[in-house]
Amino acid sequence: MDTAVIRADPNRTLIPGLAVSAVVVEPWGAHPSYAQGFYDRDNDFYVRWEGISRDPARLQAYLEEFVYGLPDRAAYLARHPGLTGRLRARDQVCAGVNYGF
Amino acid sequence: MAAVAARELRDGEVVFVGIGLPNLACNLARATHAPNLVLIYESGAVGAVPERLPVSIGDPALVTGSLMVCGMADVFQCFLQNGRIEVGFLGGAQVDRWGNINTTVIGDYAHPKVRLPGSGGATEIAAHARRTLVMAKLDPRAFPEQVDFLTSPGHRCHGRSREELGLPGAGPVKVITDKAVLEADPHSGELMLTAVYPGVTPDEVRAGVGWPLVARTTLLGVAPPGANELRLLREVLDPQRLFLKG
Repeated sequence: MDTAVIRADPNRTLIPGLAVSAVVVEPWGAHPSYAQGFYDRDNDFYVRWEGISRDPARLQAYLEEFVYGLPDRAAYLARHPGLTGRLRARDQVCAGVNYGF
Repeated sequence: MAAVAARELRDGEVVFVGIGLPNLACNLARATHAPNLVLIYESGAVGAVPERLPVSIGDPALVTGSLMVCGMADVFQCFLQNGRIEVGFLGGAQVDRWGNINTTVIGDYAHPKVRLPGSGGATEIAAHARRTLVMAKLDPRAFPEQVDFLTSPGHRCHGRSREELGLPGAGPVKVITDKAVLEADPHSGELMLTAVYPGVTPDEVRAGVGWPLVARTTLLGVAPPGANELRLLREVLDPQRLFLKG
């Protein structure tokens, strides 16, 4: 990301580069949680998680299948067909900001 | 419980909302008699107008259309500690005779039977909200005479009043349970039975409380939820029954 993009809209910057060591570009990286403006929470998963997390055997099986058993996020997404279509955010864009003085 | 709590909110009030039943109650109030309720969530959404019942305090539905989004520290410092929150909701594993709340530990602190999630923002809400409403289900274990650990202050903490402790808010004015409403005695601060749900006797309420509960001479009846409240709760606010049981 060019610094000019960041500097164009400073009111919305929450974490400036001086406090950052590295940035990982990982689309859908917050799944099953949400990322505002990108995708919604996968609430069906949260409901299922209740059962998974209560049972050590099911939890272990889940971790093997979706955490330890997958090389990266792309493989994780491939294991969830239809997910991106189901959860992608609809647009609600606000007008630009005038930083003139 | 959600409907009874919703009725406690007046239109235009500023409410510090948590997830769970208070979230349902606040959004029910907003959909009925209090469309101008100002909802503040500790995630930083101020004046939230969620289109759907938010499933967590991080729900982007709280951000879209809100008055402002600030940091959590600002919610506590600029709004709560500044006396801007009129109503705060609290719950907990234990609520005692004086409305003190325990969300820290059951049993001895060093050797707990159950380790609970802790205060979160509850202690500050209990101290600073101008009044608080507590929601908890009656059960003698949930309503002991004295909490095992005092996380959030009620009306008397280890024998000292809120005034002596310098707590600015009025404290827990009402405790909304699944069978009745308890209110703090205006002088002593002790929780008293003041209203019962339809078909509930004072003795049933006492069976769920671990101290000799005093009942007000004239008990009020709590009206059951109306058809519109039930429809909103079941069909609009929580159709998946994430929070509702019945």
